[in-house]
Amino acid sequence: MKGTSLGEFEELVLLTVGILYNDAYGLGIRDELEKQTGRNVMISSVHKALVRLEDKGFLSSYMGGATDERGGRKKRLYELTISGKKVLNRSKELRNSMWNSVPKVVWE
Amino acid sequence: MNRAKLPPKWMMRFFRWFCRQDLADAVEGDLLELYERKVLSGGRLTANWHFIVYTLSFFQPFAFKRQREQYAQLNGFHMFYNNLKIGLRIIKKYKAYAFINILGLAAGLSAFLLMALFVMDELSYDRFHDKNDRIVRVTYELKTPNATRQGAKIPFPIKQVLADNYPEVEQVARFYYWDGDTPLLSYGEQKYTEPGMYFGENSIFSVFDFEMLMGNPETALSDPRSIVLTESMATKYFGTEDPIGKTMRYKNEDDLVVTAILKDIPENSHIVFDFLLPIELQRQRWMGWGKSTYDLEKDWNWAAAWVYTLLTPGTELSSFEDKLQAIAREHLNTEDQSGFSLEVQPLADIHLKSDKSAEARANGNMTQVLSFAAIAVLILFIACVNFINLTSVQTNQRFKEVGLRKVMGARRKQLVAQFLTEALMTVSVSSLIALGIAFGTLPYFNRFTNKAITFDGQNMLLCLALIAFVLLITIMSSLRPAVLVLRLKAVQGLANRFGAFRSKQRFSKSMVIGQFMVSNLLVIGILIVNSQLSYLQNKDLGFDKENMVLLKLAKNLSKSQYELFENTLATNPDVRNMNRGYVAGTRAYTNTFKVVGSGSDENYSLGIKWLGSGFLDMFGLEIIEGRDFDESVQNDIKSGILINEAAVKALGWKVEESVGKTLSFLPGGASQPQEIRVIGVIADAHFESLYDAVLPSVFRRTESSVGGAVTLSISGNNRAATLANIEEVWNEVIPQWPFEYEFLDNIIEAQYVKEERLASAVQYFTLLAIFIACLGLFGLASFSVQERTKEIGVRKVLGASIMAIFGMVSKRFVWLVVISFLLSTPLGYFLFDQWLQDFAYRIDIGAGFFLIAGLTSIVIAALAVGGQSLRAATVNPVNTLRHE
Repeated sequence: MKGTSLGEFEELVLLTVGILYNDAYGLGIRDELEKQTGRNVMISSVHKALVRLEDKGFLSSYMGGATDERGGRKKRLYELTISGKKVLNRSKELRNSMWNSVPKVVWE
Repeated sequence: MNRAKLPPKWMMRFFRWFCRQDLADAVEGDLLELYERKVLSGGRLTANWHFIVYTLSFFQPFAFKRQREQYAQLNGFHMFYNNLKIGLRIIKKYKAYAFINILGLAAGLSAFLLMALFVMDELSYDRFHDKNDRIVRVTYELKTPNATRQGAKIPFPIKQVLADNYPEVEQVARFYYWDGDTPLLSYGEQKYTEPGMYFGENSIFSVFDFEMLMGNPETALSDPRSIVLTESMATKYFGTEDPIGKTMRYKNEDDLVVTAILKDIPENSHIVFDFLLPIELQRQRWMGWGKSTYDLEKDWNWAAAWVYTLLTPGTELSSFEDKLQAIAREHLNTEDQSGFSLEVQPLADIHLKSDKSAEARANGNMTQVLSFAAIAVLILFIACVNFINLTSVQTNQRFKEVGLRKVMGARRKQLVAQFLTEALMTVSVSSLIALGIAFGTLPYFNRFTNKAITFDGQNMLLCLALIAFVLLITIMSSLRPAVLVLRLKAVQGLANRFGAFRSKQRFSKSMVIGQFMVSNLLVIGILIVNSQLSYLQNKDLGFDKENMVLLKLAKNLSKSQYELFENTLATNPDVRNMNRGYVAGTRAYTNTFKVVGSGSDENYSLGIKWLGSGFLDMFGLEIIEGRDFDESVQNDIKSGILINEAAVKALGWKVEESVGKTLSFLPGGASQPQEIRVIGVIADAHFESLYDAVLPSVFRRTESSVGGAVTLSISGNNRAATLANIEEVWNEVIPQWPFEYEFLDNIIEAQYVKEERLASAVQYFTLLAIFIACLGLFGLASFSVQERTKEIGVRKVLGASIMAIFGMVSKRFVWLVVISFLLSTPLGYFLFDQWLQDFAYRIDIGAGFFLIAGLTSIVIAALAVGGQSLRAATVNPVNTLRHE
């Protein structure tokens, strides 16, 4: 496994999984991402990120129940693992501490 | 659900094909959901379009199937472990076959390894020179009406012409060796005659890569009074002292200063020397340091030096050779002597492909290398066939196991992996054993091939690569039956043990035929080579070679010294006779002659031999026309000659007419031709190796000991005492030279050493080949007997006799051997007839050889099969029929 660093996109996906709590599946995540960021997101990019995050151990998944929509296919639902939560926290702290290090005068 | 809502089916199938299972459902769901949305918002066409794009965007590594990987991670190691375990169990179960299989393969591989080392060593000659692809040796060819002579040496002055007139010649290096005597070298109290003393020049060190340990390669031989030693010679004379600058005395006359030390010349060099002296030294000595006018650097009549040229890159050899003919026209061909042409020879070709007169060293021989290579390949073939046969027969015994595994859900790949593991186990164990054997026997092998081969990284790697390659093929072919077995349905395997088996025996049978063909060939080889050799050794040479002692002279004896020596020894009753001159042995001098008064200008190439008085009696040579030298006639001594019958034939004369005819020739170093008159004809005797026909020769009378030899004929009683007495007298008369001698019969025998070695190599390896082939046959026979246990039981119950059953089982195999015999006979005849063509005197290949070889094979095969057959035939049928 290639380290445990987070790319920007991966971080966004991870946060989205957190937002969608209990209903985080591929297409849902993409919709939420597009809504939050206003960017156009490819569904394959989302899945790619999900696979990678799961490999890194930040996400875990389970199969949801079948529905009538989606041609009767089941959803794969994702949730944050403990290390997923930790890594989000760490990146948030890193940002905060760096924010704090920026001298006030820069913002004026 | 609405059918119209479905996206293009082919796209979905494509997606299913590439996408990994655990992702597929979820992603497909997402794609379908998206599709449904698009249908609602933009219509089917846009939706289809988007679906295709989205699906294709998943065509990325992260989504690909990786079932295989996961599977390997899952239990690959355990499966492998299990295969090993089963393999070991199989070996334990069939101990005898495993033993035969491993032993046969190991024996074959180790033989192959050794012979491959030999062949590689032979091929490696002179390749240690970095520029070997640009170094050529210039040699000559002389055509006379009776013979074509090729000589390795050419005159000294050619160097200057080459260097001046040929832009493609970068450098010229000459070697020269004087074999007229064995010079004495001394340092203080240490005196030795040194046979390895060569003359050379500085360019040798820039053309060749003889490694210099001390000294300056650019000036080492610049001073005519300098000497270069090899490392081991430096140790011999100086021990641990620093040799550079020390003074050594050459022939008790010249003081030479040591200027450089070379690393010992590698064994795989076509020219090997212990000392290098400047050519200039010899030139000056002969010019008497300025007192005489003879200059070897101007002598175009004396082919004396080995001349090597370093060519510029990209020089075309054939056109260079054409251009060289200008030298031959201008300098070599004179009115007295024509028919010379020059040839060039790449350095790397010299050892194996060159057999000219006056080679620097007895060269190898391509035939021998090729026959070694052929035997090596054949033995490897036999060993591999064994392995394939035994493995496949064994595989065929395991129908039930395969069937059961299939029922339990084993995949084909797993089954193949299992057979592969077992084959690899056998092969790697035998390879290890083979390596061990090769390491252990290398010293013995070296001794009888007279080589100093060691395992070094390079040749080892090459050998191993070769073996790995062969084994790979072997394993592959041994898997063939396994694959056939695997094609069977599980039920077939479980129910029917023998069904599909029969047809495949054809393969095994043809393999056995191949094996026995090879061993038959080798047996025929041993018989023919051996009887040819004993023929050579026992052939009447036409002169007495027993109890002849050749003294090696360090310097030609003066007449008075010789007479004193002779007279003192005359008192010893065990010294029957002694004589000067040199006729038999390894050195041959030839010259070209013209017939005086014939009106023709043709040159004849004849050998020259030197005789002392009473020589003919001493050697038991017979005069068939004319008379011997008359000691009281001065003209006989000066210009009389005897010729042999071969010379009579070569000159186109008749024996009765030849006495009284006159020949003329140009003696070495002289400018005027000399005329000589035939006074007698002697019967042909084989003074040279029996490879060649008797050399047409001229026998001259000599007063000095030309050729550096004195021959003594001793009675053979008290050999040691006689030799001690001779040495004593020698030391009295000629105290400054060490006493060294050889027996003539030993010298003559040494000419056939190469053949003897070939013969003993063929012998050992043939035994090995037969042994391996028998192991294989034994294995096959026992399998076949096992398989027919029940049949034999039933036959016995119905009253078959032991002999009948014995015959029934053996017959199949003996037939194979008979067929292989029939196939190998013509092949053997053809091959060994070719080999015999090399000899001028040779045996006829009679039917006897083939009969003996055939019988040997059949008897051996019968023995190998017989034991098994007998066991099968004598077993109590109750025991065999009780099964199932």
